[in-house]
Amino acid sequence: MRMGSSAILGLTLGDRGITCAQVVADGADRVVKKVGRFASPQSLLDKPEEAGRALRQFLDAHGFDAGRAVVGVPARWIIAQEKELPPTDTAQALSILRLQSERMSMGESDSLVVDYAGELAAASHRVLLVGILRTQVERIQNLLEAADLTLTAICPSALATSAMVGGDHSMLHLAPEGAELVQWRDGSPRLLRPIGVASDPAAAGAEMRRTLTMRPGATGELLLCDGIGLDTSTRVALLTRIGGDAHVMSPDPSLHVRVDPGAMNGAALGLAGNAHLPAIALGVVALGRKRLPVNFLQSKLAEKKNQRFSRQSILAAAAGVAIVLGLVLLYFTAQSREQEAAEIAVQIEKLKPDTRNAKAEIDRIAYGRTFFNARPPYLDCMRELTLALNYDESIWVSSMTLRDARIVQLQGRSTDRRLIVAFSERLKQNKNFSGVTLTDMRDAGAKSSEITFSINCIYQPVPPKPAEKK
Amino acid sequence: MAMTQRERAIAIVAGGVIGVGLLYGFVLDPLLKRLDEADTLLAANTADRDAALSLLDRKSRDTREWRTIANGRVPSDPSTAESQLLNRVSAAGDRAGLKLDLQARAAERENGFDRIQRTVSTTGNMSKLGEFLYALQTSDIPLRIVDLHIGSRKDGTDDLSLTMSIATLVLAPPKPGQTASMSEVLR
Repeated sequence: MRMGSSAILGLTLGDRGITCAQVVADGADRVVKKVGRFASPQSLLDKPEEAGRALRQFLDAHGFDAGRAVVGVPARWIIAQEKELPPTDTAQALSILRLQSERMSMGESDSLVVDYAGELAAASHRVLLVGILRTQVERIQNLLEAADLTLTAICPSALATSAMVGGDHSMLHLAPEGAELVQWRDGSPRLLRPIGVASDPAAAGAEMRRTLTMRPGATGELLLCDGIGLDTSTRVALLTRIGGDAHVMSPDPSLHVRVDPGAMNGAALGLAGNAHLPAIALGVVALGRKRLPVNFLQSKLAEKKNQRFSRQSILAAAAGVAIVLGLVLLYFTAQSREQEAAEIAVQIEKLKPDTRNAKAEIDRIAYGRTFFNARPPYLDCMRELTLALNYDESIWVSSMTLRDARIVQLQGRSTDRRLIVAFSERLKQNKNFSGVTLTDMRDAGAKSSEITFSINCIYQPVPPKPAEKK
Repeated sequence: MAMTQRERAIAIVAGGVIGVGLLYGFVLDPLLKRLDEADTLLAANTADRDAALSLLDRKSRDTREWRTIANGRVPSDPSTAESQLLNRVSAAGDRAGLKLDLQARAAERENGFDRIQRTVSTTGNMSKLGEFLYALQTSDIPLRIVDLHIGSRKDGTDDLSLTMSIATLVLAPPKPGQTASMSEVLR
């Protein structure tokens, strides 16, 4: 599993090997988790894809799990020239530097990738113009791509190593591929150059001394980065030759760099002295402790494309287009629904004769049914009335009229008014009758003790409830 | 006069608010109202169409059902209908042991049918009258009791008089312009 953005690989490239250091951020500190040396039997950049795949296998085998990498290249691959700029503004200075970089390319502006180290706003206006062959950059990119790593920066290893140290200083970097000299003044690198072979440290030290003597104004610390593993006597002799206060660089706790105790195991075999220091420096600087002095992937000299429209303008235009599209959609939706409603209205108009006929036919059929299965239930009505009359009471019906299929008129007699009222109440309680009205109740005459009555009601049989399902 | 950044921001916000207000008032709101009206109209028209289709569907179902019920029992000839009515009523009276008095009434046209009516009068006890009424109510021809009056002829005895109007149906001849299928449906 690849680690998140807090882990990065520092890779220092040589002709036949790569020194790897995996650095992670731990609060304010930078912790070196893994250090290793990938050795290649052939020149690395001859077949970058092949070397990249082998590097991937090496990283997987030794537990390097960072997905991003920053690459350091030896000074021998670099052209570096100090340039003095006239007092001018930044844009002018950039133009001058671009012109200078074209001169470095000897007219073939595409052959070199050039960046500069230093501050254009500084009063001194001295910068270090650093170039590398474009083909080398492309090979490095191919190598990293084959190793399934995201390349974030390419920088000279010695520049990155010396960038870890603050203030003016001069550093002699002894690497298997050769010795390199870096000098910083006024907070910017002013010199980067290979100075002979590392196998002869004394000669390299003498060359450094001579170079510094020829560059008046050089101040600050004198540092030795020992990447070849000098023995103590040689190292002391070299330091003496460089200068009295010269000392050896190491991942100093004062730089907030800690080396994990397990980092140097296994894969670190074959690393001499502080050969891992440039790789660590690349990781530390790339993680943001300091700024990389140069980055060939994002050269400060590359002309920025002027955007025709600002971000706000683009957002405003997008919002405008979205609003217009929304309104157009709304308009067409409304229009579509109106059209649909109109089409349905036409359908209804076409159906009108049919529906008129259908309604008439339904009415006719409903009427016709009353002569068959929907006949008025006169017998049922008579049965309900008979059940409402109690046989043991002296009340009887003398006349019954049924008309319009449901209107009932009853006339009868009784010997007791209470029996008549009770009969009327029983009809009212029967759900099949409604509008029960006792319209008349009077004495039958002087010769009789009976009472006549008239009751009107409406017979509307309640349909039987469907049988409950078990 | 050059505007400061603050003034420009205020101008942009104010312009935006006014623009949005104008857009809402003159474009969005009318569009939304139009959409709302279109939705309402669409819903109403859809409901009307569904009701019309439902009516046509019900007509088809009722027609099928009517064909099963009528099954050729509704004559188109008045004399056939009249003789059919008299036969059934007389037969019912004979079975119940009642002597019937039948009087003709004028035919009426109603709901696409001609209705032939007769007034029936008779006397008898409740049992006989009930049997007679049951026979009429379960008759196999189109027959309906329109109204009915039962009265007691003598108090305290089961001697009743019955007067009622009965009717049968005849298919009315189609009106000019009426579709031929109508009379076919009603047959």
